[in-house]
Amino acid sequence: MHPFLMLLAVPCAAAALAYVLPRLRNELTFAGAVVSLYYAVRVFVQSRHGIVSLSLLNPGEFRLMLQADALSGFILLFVGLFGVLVLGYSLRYMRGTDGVRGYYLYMPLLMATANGALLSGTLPVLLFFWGSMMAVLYGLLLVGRPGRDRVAARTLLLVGLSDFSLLLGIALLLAGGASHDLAPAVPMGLAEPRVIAAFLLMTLGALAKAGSMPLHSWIPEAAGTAPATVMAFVPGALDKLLGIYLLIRLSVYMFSLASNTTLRLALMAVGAVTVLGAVLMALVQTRVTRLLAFHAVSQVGYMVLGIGTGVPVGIAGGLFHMLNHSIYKSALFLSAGSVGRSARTDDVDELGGLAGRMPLTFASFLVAALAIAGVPPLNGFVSKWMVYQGLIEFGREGNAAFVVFLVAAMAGSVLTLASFVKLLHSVFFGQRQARLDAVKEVGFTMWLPTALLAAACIALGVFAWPLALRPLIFPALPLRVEMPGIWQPLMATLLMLLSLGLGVIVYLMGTMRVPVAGRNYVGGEKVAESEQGRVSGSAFYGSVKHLPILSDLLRFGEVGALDVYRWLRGVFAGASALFGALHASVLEALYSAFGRLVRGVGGAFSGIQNGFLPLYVAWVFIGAVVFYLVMALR
Amino acid sequence: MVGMVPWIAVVPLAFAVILLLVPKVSRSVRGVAALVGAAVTFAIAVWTWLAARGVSASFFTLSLTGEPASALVTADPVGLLLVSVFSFVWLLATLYSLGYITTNEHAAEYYGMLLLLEAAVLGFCLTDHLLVMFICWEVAAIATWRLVMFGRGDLEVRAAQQTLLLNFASAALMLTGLVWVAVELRTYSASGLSGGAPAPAALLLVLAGVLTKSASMPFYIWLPSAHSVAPSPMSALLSGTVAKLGLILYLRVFVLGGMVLPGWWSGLVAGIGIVSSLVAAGCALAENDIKRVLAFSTVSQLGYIFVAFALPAGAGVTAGLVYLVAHCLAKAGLFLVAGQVERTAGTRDLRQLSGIARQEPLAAAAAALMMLSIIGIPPLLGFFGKFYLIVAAARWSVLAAAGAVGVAVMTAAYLLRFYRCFVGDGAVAGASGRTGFAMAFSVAVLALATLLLGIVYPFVPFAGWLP
Repeated sequence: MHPFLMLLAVPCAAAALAYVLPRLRNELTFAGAVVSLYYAVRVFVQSRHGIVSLSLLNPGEFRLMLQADALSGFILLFVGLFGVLVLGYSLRYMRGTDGVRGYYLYMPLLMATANGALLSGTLPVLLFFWGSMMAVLYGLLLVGRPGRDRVAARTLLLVGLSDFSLLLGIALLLAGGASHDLAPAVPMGLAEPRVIAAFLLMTLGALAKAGSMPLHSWIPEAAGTAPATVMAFVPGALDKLLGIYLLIRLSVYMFSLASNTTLRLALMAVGAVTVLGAVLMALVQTRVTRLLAFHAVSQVGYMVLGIGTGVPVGIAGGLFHMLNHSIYKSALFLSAGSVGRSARTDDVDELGGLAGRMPLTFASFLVAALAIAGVPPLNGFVSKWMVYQGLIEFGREGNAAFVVFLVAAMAGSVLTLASFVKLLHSVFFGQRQARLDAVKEVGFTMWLPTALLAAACIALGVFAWPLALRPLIFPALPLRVEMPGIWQPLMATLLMLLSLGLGVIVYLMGTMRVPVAGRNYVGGEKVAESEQGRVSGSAFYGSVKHLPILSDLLRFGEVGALDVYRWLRGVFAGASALFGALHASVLEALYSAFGRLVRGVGGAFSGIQNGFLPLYVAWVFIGAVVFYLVMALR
Repeated sequence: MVGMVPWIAVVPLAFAVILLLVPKVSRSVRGVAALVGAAVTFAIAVWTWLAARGVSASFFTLSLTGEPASALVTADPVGLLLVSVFSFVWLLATLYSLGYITTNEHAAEYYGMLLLLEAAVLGFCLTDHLLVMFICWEVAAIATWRLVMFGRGDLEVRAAQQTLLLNFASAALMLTGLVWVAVELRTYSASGLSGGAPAPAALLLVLAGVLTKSASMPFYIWLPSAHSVAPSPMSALLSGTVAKLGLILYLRVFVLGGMVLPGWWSGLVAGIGIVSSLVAAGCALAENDIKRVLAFSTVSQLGYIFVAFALPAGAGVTAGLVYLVAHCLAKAGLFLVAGQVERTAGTRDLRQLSGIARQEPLAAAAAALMMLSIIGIPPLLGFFGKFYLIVAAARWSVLAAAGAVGVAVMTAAYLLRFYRCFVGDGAVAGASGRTGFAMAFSVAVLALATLLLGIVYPFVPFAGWLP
């Protein structure tokens, strides 16, 4: 069978088998992911030598035209890789959890639909798989903690909105007689209003998938109910891979975004707002997974910012950032899952001091946290640097607006670091509460995937050029990328290691090793030993909540004023009240008025028909007189 | 095989007559007899359809005078597609009734009327003659009236009266219009109307009848009350098939008939369709009774199909038909599921229902598939209907396409609200246990059909079998 078909069939078969053989569901889904990865590698290798395509019968809009080019081959490879890592992690993580039969059905199906979306050669086929993926996601989110039904419904409504926006965009494009090919020879210009509208509608679909504002609000909610693996796989990795894939398809392959500066500015503005808005929300969160979920939104902003510049280096930066984000964010979610499983809570106020108890998880988390904060020489830094380069290049075209975006992006970076300092403090450092003394490191099937992802953060940062940019990122774009101020990661790493070594020597020589212990008193009373100087996670940035303008914004954010879902609910409530009233008071009233009229007329006539013969004879007589009069007068 | 066409309507009619006339037979014998009748009808319909697939023109006519122009029975691809789908739904609804109808009172009338309704609906699909259409239309109205008042409660009788009165009043208008058109164009054959331009007033009279039967603004008022009080299998048939008769008449007379319509006609009908879709979707969001939510959803989806059929030059015929079939299967299934929910939980109030999936996992899974199909999410059949519809609408007017998308999002909102009765965390207090095999099986088959037809749709050239 053709590897394309295997990429669709293997995960489906694994899902079906896992559903009918629940005893082997862990092993079966993992095996399915591994086999699927094998075919993804084959397709990736083939796609390096040009576009591979496969056409299946039936002409028409839905002819199954599957194809893989350098971009989709590259993304397919990583969908396969993340599938293996996450399902490998699930081997242990999900074992012994009740009521998760759906998990093993939907995770492989999600992979199959994602593969299908990446292999689509035309827009209608893409829409088919894209929507199927949404249906599967709905099922997947129905697995988890109480409250999941609301989360799943919210997700289906928000993602569904973006899906119908994609559909409308495609319909506009097809109605205008444009090609529905995903990789045409020459990208379309963005000048006609109809084409611009189609582009914007489809872009909304891509942005919502990637998790960018304004349709992001299902992600933090899902973090509250879904298992950590689902968060790591879907908003962490898969959604970024697919959303950014579609965004690049649209803005580089199908249309040329570079031809319309207004649209570029709009996209960059969406990116900048997303970076800042979501990171501010992340700062005040008190649950680990929810905090990470806000970062999963915030980081998309960088990718959108990079692609929005329309400059080759910015686009490449956005694409690279997508890859890096998938790696460190799934590492973070998986580590959070390990902590949650070992400590049985993910509330930052109850955690603390776990670094010594869970050293491997801690190390992975630390690396991934530094990577997401953009600390050199890790991968997150390299891609952010490229995005900044793109912004500066954009500014060279004579548009001063780039400064605003650059400042926003950098401020976002600082705030990201700040929120991870809080997370590191409250989960791994700080004082450990007595009830966490028994916490142990997780088993190897759980720490290994996390550690591998953390190692990838280091490798892709230090060896960014030979490992990622040259073999993966640049070939995936039909552009010539020039990097004017290239960052030399290897050299920089050596210098940093050197300075770090110096620091260690200073530390060892100095007096810092001798901590000074003192007693804390409150009002003359000794504070209990265990509570000594403990700063809980939620109090860490307590002051942020009280800053003048920010506090208002955050309060808005907390109650969901910036949440499109809320707005939609409001619109629906209005529509239902209005139309419900219209139905009840106007139409029902009209109907009963008509009924009364009929009854009234009938009552009048029944008064005439009293059953007495003389009356009927009189009526016949009157009728005859009228008839003759009419006949005589005409 | 093609000669069997008249039997598709004659078989259920014969069974109906026998069931109505034979006295003193137990309920289950009647049910099984009705099931046999529905099964035979379904077999003939599908067999004929498959034998005649790929033939585009009408290929069977039966005429008393020998002239094809006055044929009483005409089988064409559209008609055979519809009778195959409708008889399938009928078979499952009859099977479901075996488990659902548990009182002997009025059971004799129930099964007889069920098959009489089938004969009328299938006969309607298999004719091109305007007066035969009208006769079937009225027989269907009478059978609907009896079936809606099955429970004989105050509400049931009121709803049935309302249904009968409104349908008869509008049918009188429609008959006037049809005869007017036929006299002007000198033919009673719908396909013979081609090229004629009758008076707009006559067309509006016919449209009034169509809008009442297919429950659109402003005549939809009978549908929500009738659907919510009728027995669930009847609600399923009412929503899946009977309410489609108006659309089918519109399709035959106005779209495939090829009359020259006034320039404002498309705008009028598509406008009515969109407005009625939007209003009904809003009403569905406001309702708390699950069957009323589904009933308003039917009004909304019927408006959607009107938009498809209203597009100029028949651009939306395929889209409309695909969506009509998808809606028929899925909505019939959802009404059957609603009956199961009512049986299991003892209430239809959304505010009290929660977590039924724990008692009825199969029904919950089936309902999810059918809900997603109606929202228009792949890989289910409803997606293809909605996709083609929106693409066709965008060619005509961007506003219509945007309206259709807006309605789709509202559909998602109220159906997800409906689905909360399955997936909530709570449990219903007075849960009385599971429903029987016959009910679960029919629902599962409908859901499976929705899924499988969606998956094979891209591979089978269904569209090529249609006009």
